Amino acid sequence: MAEDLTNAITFYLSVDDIQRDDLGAIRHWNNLMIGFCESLIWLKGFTSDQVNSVEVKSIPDKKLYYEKGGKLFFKDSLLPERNLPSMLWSPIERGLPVKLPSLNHNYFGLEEKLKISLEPTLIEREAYAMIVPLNILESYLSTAPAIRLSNISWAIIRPNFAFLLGKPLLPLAAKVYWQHQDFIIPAGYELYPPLLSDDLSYILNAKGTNWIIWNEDSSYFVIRKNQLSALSLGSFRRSMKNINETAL
Amino acid sequence: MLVLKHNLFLDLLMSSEPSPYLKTITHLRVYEEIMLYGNFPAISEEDQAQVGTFLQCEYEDEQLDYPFEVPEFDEAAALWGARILYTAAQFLLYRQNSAQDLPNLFREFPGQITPGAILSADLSLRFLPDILIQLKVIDPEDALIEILENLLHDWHYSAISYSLNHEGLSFQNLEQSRCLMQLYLNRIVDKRNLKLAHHPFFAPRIGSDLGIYASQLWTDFIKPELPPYDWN
Repeated sequence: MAEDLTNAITFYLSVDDIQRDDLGAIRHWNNLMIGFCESLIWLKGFTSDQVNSVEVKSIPDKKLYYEKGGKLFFKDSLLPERNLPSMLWSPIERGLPVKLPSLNHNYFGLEEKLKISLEPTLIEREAYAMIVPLNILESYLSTAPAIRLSNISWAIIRPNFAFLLGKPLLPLAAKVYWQHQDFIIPAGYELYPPLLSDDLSYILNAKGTNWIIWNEDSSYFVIRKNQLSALSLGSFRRSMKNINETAL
Repeated sequence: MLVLKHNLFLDLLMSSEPSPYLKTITHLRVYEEIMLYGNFPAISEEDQAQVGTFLQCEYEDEQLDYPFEVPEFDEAAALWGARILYTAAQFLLYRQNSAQDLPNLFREFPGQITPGAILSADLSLRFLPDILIQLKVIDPEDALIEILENLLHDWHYSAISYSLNHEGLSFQNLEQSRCLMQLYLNRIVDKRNLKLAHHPFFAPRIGSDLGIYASQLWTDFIKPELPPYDWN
């Protein structure tokens, strides 16, 4: 709500010095000024909204004044209560500094470990990769139109599976995965805790040169991105020929 | 990689002085460039045999990429295709023969055009459209252009990248061989030849190849604002 400039009333709030911690809830209002006078803490610069807000109302044992002609009146009162005290005003952040607890050298909780796992999720994402037995892939490739393979790159995973990456997926009965950064995660699962995925990605794959493929049992394996090659019938047959020759 | 698989032929090239014909054809297949050695050198029986063996190796290598059952290699067709291409390339550079000799030099394939023959001849003929384009740049009125276009009309698998007159094309061979059919469709999509893709013979087949992914794989094929080519 916009401020009513014609009705600019200056509000003052005073609390006892020992109640300093109760002002924590309004410390972030950086339009406030703070001053210290004897055993009282004074605040000024409230807007009319702030004066009526829950944060102010919930401060116990406060005294709320408005100022007129150098006198302070209790809010909603017509009788002057006291004179305006003279003091040095400073911004509230400076008057109420935040103290951080010092480092606890005796903290021995370092052995606690987070278990990273895959958890089923209801969030739906488009599948991006699949792992398929070589014989199923072979029978599809031998009749497939080349255009359907054009966006897909692949690698052989021992003993006899192929890893296919790219959209649109091939119409094969296979395990389907989706992609999150450089992680290839089984469809229907996501990393838990999800907040750690950036750190995990940095630890496992700092240079971003690998695909990290997760299994449902939270184990993973790594495929270098430059190990994948474009999928075609010729590529498949030549690879199989190579494998058979090295096996002999 | 490409060069390695030709070890056998590199040996052949090194051991004895190879004929210009063999050198041109191997260079064409390995580097996809035409390199001519001399003006119309004679082609001996031995050259023919060497080029035939070379093309057969090439065919065996390429058939790894062929889907379904691969048709048999047809050496006569492969040699005929290489010969046509070689002569066309010569004519691109040297013009000493008169126009009357042209039909003699570009005689039609004497054998039967089978799926195997089409794929074998395509090893060389696929480069013919590029030569045709060069010929058109030099002289659009050239009599050779019409002769070569007439040849390609029968061997239209090699001319998918070329804007051929598509009237009266014969698709009998395509229906005979699923391998050739699939290769033909693959090449139409690969060369993005919309005119041919919208031909009533191919449109439903390409549609079923693309499936529901046509919008991702080949947007132009299904674009409604493009009027289909009028075949009548």
